[in-house]
Amino acid sequence: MNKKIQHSIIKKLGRSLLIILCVALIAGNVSAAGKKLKTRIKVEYVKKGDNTKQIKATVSSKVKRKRVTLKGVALSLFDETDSTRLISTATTDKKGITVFTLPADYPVGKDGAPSVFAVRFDGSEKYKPASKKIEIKDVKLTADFKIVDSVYTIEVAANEMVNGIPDAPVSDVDVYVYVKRLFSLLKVGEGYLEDGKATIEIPNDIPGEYKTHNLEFVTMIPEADDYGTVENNKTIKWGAPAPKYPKYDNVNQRALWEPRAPLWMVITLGILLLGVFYHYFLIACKLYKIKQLGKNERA
Amino acid sequence: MEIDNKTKEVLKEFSPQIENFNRRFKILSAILIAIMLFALYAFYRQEKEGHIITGMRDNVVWGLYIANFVFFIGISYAGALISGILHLLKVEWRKPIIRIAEFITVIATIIGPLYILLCMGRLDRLFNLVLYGRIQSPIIWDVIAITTYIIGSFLFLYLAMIRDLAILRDTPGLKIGKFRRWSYKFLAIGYQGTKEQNKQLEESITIMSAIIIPIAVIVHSVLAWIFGMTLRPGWHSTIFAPYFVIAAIFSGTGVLIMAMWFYRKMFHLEKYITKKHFDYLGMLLLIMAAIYGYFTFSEYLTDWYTSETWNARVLKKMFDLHQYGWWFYFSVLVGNLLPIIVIGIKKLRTINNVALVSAIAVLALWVKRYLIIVPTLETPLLPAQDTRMEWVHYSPTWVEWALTMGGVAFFIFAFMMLSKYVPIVPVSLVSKPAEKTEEVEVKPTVETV
Repeated sequence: MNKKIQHSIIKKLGRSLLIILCVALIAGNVSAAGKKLKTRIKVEYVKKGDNTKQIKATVSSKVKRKRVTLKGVALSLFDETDSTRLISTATTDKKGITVFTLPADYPVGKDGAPSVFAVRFDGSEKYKPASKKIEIKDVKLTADFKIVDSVYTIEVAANEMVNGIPDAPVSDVDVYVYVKRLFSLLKVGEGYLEDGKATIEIPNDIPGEYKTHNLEFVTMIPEADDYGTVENNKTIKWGAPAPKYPKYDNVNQRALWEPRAPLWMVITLGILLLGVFYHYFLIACKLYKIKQLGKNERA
Repeated sequence: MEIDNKTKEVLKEFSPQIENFNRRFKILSAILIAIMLFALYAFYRQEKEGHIITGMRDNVVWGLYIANFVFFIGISYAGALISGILHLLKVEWRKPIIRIAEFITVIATIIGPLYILLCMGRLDRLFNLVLYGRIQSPIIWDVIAITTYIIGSFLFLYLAMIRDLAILRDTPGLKIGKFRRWSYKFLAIGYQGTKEQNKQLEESITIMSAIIIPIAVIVHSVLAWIFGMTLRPGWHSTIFAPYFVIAAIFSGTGVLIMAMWFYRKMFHLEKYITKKHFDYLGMLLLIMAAIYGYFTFSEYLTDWYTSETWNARVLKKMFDLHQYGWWFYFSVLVGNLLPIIVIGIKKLRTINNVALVSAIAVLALWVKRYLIIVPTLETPLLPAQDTRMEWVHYSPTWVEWALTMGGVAFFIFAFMMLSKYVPIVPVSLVSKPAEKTEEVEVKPTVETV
């Protein structure tokens, strides 16, 4: 008897567990289908050399445990320093990035307090809404280019700006010096700001622009917590001239940047082309003659 | 122009070829047009989305397109060299096949450079080539050489067609449209077959036959120098120019044999294109296969002995069955040895066999062009840092395959259309009696004692 009861209890329990499992699975699937994905916004602030300010936002989400950037996401930029004010809206590109550019005279760090910017995404059918705030103080970064005892030196100064006037010096942040190259920036020096100042020595053998020997330097405080990225750009004739090949080398003669081809090459090509096109011309004359003869024959 | 009875008889044989568009022709044309339209769509997508939809990346910047370019310029040799040389030597058996050879030249010379344009990322900047081109650049030599070659090929074909155009103009009863008749009249430029006109035309053809040969050699040498004058493993070779010239004659002869076989079957030209043509051109193919094989062996053996790191890497890729090994052995061994064996053994030298080995040799030579370009570009001299492996290894996409097939379809379609415009066998030549060549009395050099 006891065994029978036990058996029926186990059976009932097994059935109940199976039903619970099925319900849980169906419910889980339904909720997974209806569940929106989390969205993450990364915001970077960059003050360019010409004082324009850029707020770069990257939107991403985790899809199947892999983080992917989202394209075509509508973002809004707000200034929330005193009250919430919409500055602009934009859509992310195929890399999931959008860049808001603020004019050079846009007030940042008014009365010494940091400006608060917020980038918001209102969400969509598939993705949850998200927002990200950053607090930024305005900084003026200056770079003075000097040659001290034949050493190329850059004296960097950085101060927080309050209502357009330099105020407290920026300290304890790294500062780097780059040179603009064709595809990216080449790091040529680095320093550490103490009491708002740093002295950075740079090499004197960096090849400059081919004719003018200009180099475009970018002095940068990269991604500082309070200030974002701050840049200073300056073009100066500090580039080393391009190396000259010895005269007996034929590299220069056949180099593509040489305006004139070697004379022997021009003469050879000229003779060849003249020879061939003279014959083409001769054949054209003969064809004309055939035509004229045909006319006479018909006449 | 008065047309003699013999010419009338020959033309009567060929008139159905230019008058009728039968069902088979229409179906084949429809298929070819469909392939070309698909290629056009691929081109539209490439122009709209950029080269990112091709397999070409930072390392392999030349792929199928440049392989096709070299291949088509190579087969254009068929007309230039074969008809040029045979005309100068006044070889009688050239007559029925000379127009096929000239068609190949003109069509292939048009298609080849189109692949260069497809390979360019910014077609809108093409004009800069004219504005800022430097004569010291082998690319500019190539542009100049190919332009000159295209003009020469057109002239050569046109000169050889004038007599037939005049015959077609003056033959009444041909079932052709008004526009076509007008075009015959226009292009025949009043040729009446007078003695003086004949003399002028014959002189022109002889001049063209003589100069088209060096032009063709220069064009293919320049093409080889584009590769040879770069410091790339597998390209920087002094024998590249003659190597390319031989490959071009080899592939050109192969395509000519294939076209002869096709037209012989299609238009029942057994009377004109005989076994003799296949034997002679087969022998040329055999000789070219042997020379090409010798050049290939010499090239790779020299590379193998230099043991430079980068050359060794390219060679390893070629010999490795997990990389390009199968392709390499097919192009070098099958493509070279098969024509030599089949054509060399008399019993095997049938018309169908000669056509078959020609087709295999042509395919092998296309593969060889691919192998010249891609493995080298996949082996850069400067190792790129932080690059993705999929950028190093080249794999053609559907866009490149579609445009490749489009080029082949255009080649066949243009060939078919041209053969509907003028008879594929030059009527004026085959109806003429054999040209007299100077007979030289051979005296015995050893006196009988």
